[in-house]
Parts: sequence; C-alpha cells; structure tokens
Amino acid sequence: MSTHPSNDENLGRFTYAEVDRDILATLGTPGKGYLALLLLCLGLVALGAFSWTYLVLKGIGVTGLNNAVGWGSLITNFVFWVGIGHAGTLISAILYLLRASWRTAIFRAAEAATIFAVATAGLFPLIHIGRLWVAFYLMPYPNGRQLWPNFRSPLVWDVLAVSTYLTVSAIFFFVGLIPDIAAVRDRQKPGPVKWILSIASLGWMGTMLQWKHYMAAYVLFAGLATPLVISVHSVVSWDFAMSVIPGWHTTIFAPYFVAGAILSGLAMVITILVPLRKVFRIEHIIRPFHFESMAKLLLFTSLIVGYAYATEFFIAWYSGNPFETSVFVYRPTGDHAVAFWTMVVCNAVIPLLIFRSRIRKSLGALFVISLFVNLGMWFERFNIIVTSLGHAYMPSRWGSYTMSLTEWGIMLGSFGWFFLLFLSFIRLLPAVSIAEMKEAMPAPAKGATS
Amino acid sequence: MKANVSKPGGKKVESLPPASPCAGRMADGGESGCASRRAFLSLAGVSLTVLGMGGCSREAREEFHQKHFRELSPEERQSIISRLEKEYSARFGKNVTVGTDPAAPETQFGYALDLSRCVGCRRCVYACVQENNQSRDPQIHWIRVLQMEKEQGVNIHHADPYYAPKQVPEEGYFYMPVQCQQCKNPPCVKVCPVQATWQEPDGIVTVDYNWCIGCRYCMAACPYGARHFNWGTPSLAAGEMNSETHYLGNRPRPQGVVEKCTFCIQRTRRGRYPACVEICPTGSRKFGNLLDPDGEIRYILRNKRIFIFKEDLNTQPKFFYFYGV
Repeated sequence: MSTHPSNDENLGRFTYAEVDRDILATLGTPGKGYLALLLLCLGLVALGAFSWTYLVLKGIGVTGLNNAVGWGSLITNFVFWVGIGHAGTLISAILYLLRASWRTAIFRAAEAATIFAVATAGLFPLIHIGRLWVAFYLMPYPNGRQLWPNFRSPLVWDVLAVSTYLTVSAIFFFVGLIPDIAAVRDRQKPGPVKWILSIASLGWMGTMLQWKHYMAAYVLFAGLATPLVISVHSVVSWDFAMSVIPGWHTTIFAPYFVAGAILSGLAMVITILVPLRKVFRIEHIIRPFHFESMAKLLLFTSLIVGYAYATEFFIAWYSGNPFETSVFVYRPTGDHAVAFWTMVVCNAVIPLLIFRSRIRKSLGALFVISLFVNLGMWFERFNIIVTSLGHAYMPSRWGSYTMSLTEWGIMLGSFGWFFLLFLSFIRLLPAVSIAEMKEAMPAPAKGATS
Repeated sequence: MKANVSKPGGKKVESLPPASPCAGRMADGGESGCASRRAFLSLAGVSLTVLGMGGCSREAREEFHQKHFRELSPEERQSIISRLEKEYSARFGKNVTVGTDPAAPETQFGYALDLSRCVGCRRCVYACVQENNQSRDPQIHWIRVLQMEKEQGVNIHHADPYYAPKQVPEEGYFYMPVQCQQCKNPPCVKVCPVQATWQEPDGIVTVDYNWCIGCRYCMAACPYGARHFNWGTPSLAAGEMNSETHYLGNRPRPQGVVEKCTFCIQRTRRGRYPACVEICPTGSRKFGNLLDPDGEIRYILRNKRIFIFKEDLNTQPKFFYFYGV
C-alpha cells in the first residue's frame, strides 16, 4: 500500500482507504471495557434520576440550600456544563473560519461533547426550580392570552440563549455529519439500520453539486455559530451581573465567563480525547501536535481568567464599597476558602506549566492538567455563586452551605448522563470526520491502491 | 451612615426568641404526607396532560390550567376563589375566606419605623407570623430584627440578628427591624422570569403563588433579604391558621414558592393597620397613605430625620426609618 505525503505534515500520511478503515473501526463490536463503562454511566444516570425524583416529591429542602444561599450546586452544575459546551463550537466553527487546519482531527468529538454538555446543562434549571411542573411558564409559548414571560429577566434571556445555542450547534453538528453518515451507510448491509442512515444522510451521493451546496452551507452555519459561542456564556454571566449582589454586579463578568467557559471546554476535550485515541487506536490521527495546539489555547484562556480574578479584587478594593470589599475578604478567608483556593490554583496557577514545551508536548501531563482545570472551573462557579449569596447585604441572610447527598446524586447523575451520551455517540457515528480528513489530504495519485 | 440614636423610653420589655440561624431551612427533609400528595398530583397533572388528562381529579386539572391572576375574568376569578375556599376550609376544618380586594384609588401605602423607640422585643415578628400564616416548621419570619451597636450606627457589619437576652433593650444597642421595603423600583420584580411577582397600583409588591415557579432569583436580587422560600410543605396547624386571607397575601402557600411581606394586604385594603403596627408596644411603627397630605406618614416625612436603608442601590423604598425622639 503506497502512502502519500500530506500537504500538511501535522495531519499525518494516510490513504483514503486507511482513513475509512481506521475511523470506521471505532464503530465495530464493542469491547468489555466499553460495556463496563456504559453500565457504570447507566448506573449513575439511575442514581441521578432517583435523586431528582426524591427532590421533586420532598421539595428543595432536601438540598443543602437555605434562605441565605438559595442557589448552590445545581446552578453551579448548570454553569459548569454550559461552560464545557464551549470548546466544541469554538473548535468547529471559529477555528474553521480562521482556517486553523489542526482542528480537522478533533472537531467532531469536541462538537459532540458540546452538544451533550449543553443538553446536560439544560436539565439543571429544571432540577433547580421549586415547581418543576410549571417550568413551561418560562417559555414564550403561543397562547391565547398574550401572556409572555418577563423579558426584562436575565433568566428568560438565559432560556433563549441556551436553547438557541443548543439548536444551532446541533444543526451545525448534523450538517457536518452528512457525508460521514453516507460513508457509514454505504458499508451497511440492507436492513433497518441502513434505512435509518439513508434517511439521516439526506440522500447524500457525493456529487459535485452536492459538495458545492454543502460547503456553502457549512460556512454559513460556522458564521452563525461563531457569535453564539460568545453570546451564550455572556448571557449566563448576566444572570449574576444584572442583580445588585456584591461580587456579581460587575461589568467584567461577560468576558470573564466566556474565557472561563472556553478554558473549561478545552480541558474537557483534552480529558476525553487522551483516553479515546488510545482505546480506539487512532493515535496516528489525533496526534500530540493537536494536543499541543489545544494546550496553547488553554494557557491563553487561563491567563485571561487569572487576570479577571485579580481585577475583581482590585475593583473591590478600589471601589471602597464596604459590601463588595466584605465579600472579597470573605472569599479567600471565609467558610468556603477551600473552594476559592482550589479555583485559583487549578485555573490560574497549574496551567502556567504549559509554558514549558516539555509539558506541553507530554500527553500525560496535559491530561493531569486538564483534570485540575475541570475541578477548578467547577469550584470557580461554586465560589462565585455561594460566597456572594452567603455574604451579601443582610446579616440575617449570612450563611454557609454544604451539598446534601441528594445533590451529590444529581451531580454524579449528570456526569453519567453526559458520558452515556458520548459513549453512545462514538459507537454510532464516526468520532473523527472522514470527509474532512480526506479533504485535508492530497488527491490520490494515478495508479495508487485507493 | 452613622445614626445617632437616643435611648428608648426606659421601660424594659421581655424579648422573644430570634429565628434560628437556619430558619426557613428544613431540619430533616421530612414533611407531612399532604404536601407530597399535592406535589404528586401536580406531577401527575403534567404527565396526564400528555396522556389526554385521563383519571385526574377535576380540581387538580383546573388548578394546573389556571391562568395568571391578572389575566382572569371576574367569573374565572370567582370560580378559582370558591375552589380555593373549599380546599382550604376542608384542610383546616374552618370557614376560610380568600379575598381579592383590589387596590383603592389614590393610594400609595407607606411605612415609617421609629429607630429611636424600637426596643427589639420581636413582638412584630410573631404577630406577623400569626397573621400571615407563615410556616411554623421550618420557620419563616418576614420581619428580621437587627441589633446594632450605638457606637457603630447603622452598620450591618456590626449587626446581630440572633441576639437573645432575657430582656431588651440592652445598654449600648439599638434595634432595626427589616422587612420588605415595598420598593418603588423593586429589583425582585425585575428579575422574575415569569411575572409571578409585580407591584400593585397601591405600591404593594405581591406574589401569585400559583404562578411562581420557585427559581429563587427574586431572593438573590433582593438586598433586604425580604423574600422567603418554602423549602418543603409549610406546616401550619389548623388551630393557628388565620382564616381571613387574601389571594395575593396570607392564603396558605404550597411547597416550592416564594413569599414576602405584603403590608398585610388582607387588612390594609380593608382599612385596618398591618399586624406589626397594631402589636408594637412602643408605637414605633407608623403606616398610612403617602398620597394623603395630612396623613401621619407625610407628617413624619416632613418633620423628622429620615433614613432610607440602602438608598445607594436606588431601590426607592416606601419604607422609611426615622428618629422620632
């Protein structure tokens, strides 16, 4: 089998047939390890479902929340998962428009992670509210009495922003999948699976005209998705910034949250891809170079986040506002100091190691760093939400908060749910884009085997 | 922000206990079966809507499809009120009335509290609980009294809501009860995603418990800590239940909704004083119509030193603290 030198050294040297073979191999019969993981995730989802049912029946009182800290782990998890859902569209849309070719090998998995993370995040506002059965009041659903939700409320903007982001990301993901679904379809024996794939591939034949339309559509969707990456977490940050609570009411929240979201999203993509490439033996497709590129982006966003931490403290001091100052003294020294310092060390200090090229090039090191960033970003949201609410304007409303077992169950359930969706995805659809991999390669020479 | 507060009249008064630090929080997550039934019915309502609303009781169906309070026609309002009255009367074993008295024209309710007279006995706190049918366990207190050091003036970083001496007032302290300030520019109303809370024409900020989804955003937004959440089903003994209620005020609340001070809407819209004003043994609390030029409130605003709590947040309270002595 002859190999062709690629235009782009970083993408490796393959033939078309090798790309097909290696990527589609991930769709083969699952191994024992995979099934065990799937079972574990199912178990976690069952735990989460049980905890949620208990919460609905008994009331929000079964959480650790109280009148002082009325928002806690549930909103923390909401913001955490929305944040995770940022890397995918950044990699697939923004880097596509910027012609960063290194995205080719990783964007599909990142995009899937995005959609599943946003789908997970979307559950948390529902879990959080006191009366689940009237959650639909939040939607501007058509009704005969012209009754709308309150469009001044950032929570309504949030509903709209997150659902728009989920919709556009899902469409973009699906459009990108069409040629690959067709490739999977063509390898299927006739039967119901082939029938479903035929419908899902929208009759894709790979003709010149189809490619022409497809490429135009892809650029359009990339352009549509790009501003949403910025807007969705800005809107999430306004949930906090628009109220007068000290520690929330600040203008830097939107850029600070967007940078944090991209940081956490990249960390999650690294956390997922390091084991994925090993398990499915696609190390030659997703290569250390890709991780190095992501690590640089991660370092960049970590520096922004670190700068934002410092700015918050500077403004708290410089404003002379006693309530603001009080919250920022409370954060590093109060009841939740552990959350604060975990956040600072994991998000702003540990990623600095990426400056060393040896660490940047070591997958093991990057994997460990990405785990720390995941942890740190969870605590960042916890720190912002809990310490501000627990130490705001009224001493009768000062209090602390500990997660209850129910909340732990729901949180573990959300991780199970996310990984369950992701595991199902890598068995059902190609986790690396076959079409784009081929596109990045030179056309096969005459007389070559494929 | 320093307040120069002079001594109250010298009389010592027995003090009532503060809310526990965890007031309003469920101690053990347990509750009576009645609430779960209610939650279950509502949940079942959702599922059964999908299934064509099969074997669900007519009341549960009606409640689920109930419109927003401000969207009701007089007939719909009447049918909801009679449904609620029937339900509450059955639950508490007495004749419960649910009023819907609208705001009177030319009325803006205002409140004034004399910081120099208040002795911090918390009689108002408990009168309020009794009048407004708050949950007894977990406790919900709409009024929280802060004990402040005279040396410090109004400085919440030197305030104690959990003071518990045998007798009040204590030497060197003054007391500042805080409840809903009925802001003219209420941050809580602005953030409610579903318009379940709004300002009435007479200035009272109210909640429709049937429309509240329980997101607790208003609680986060309120700088006065005036809003309280029903973490579980509120427990209210039939004997302690005040049967004269208002739809937007003290009618029994379900699990999972937010509640707040309404200036005793069920009393004040019928020309009576709020319960806290009536009970106050020192006469620190004044209430009236801000639009009445000869009213007591206007007299106080004209002639006394007025302090507006957290004025810098531009909430524009209709609750004024003053120094009367």
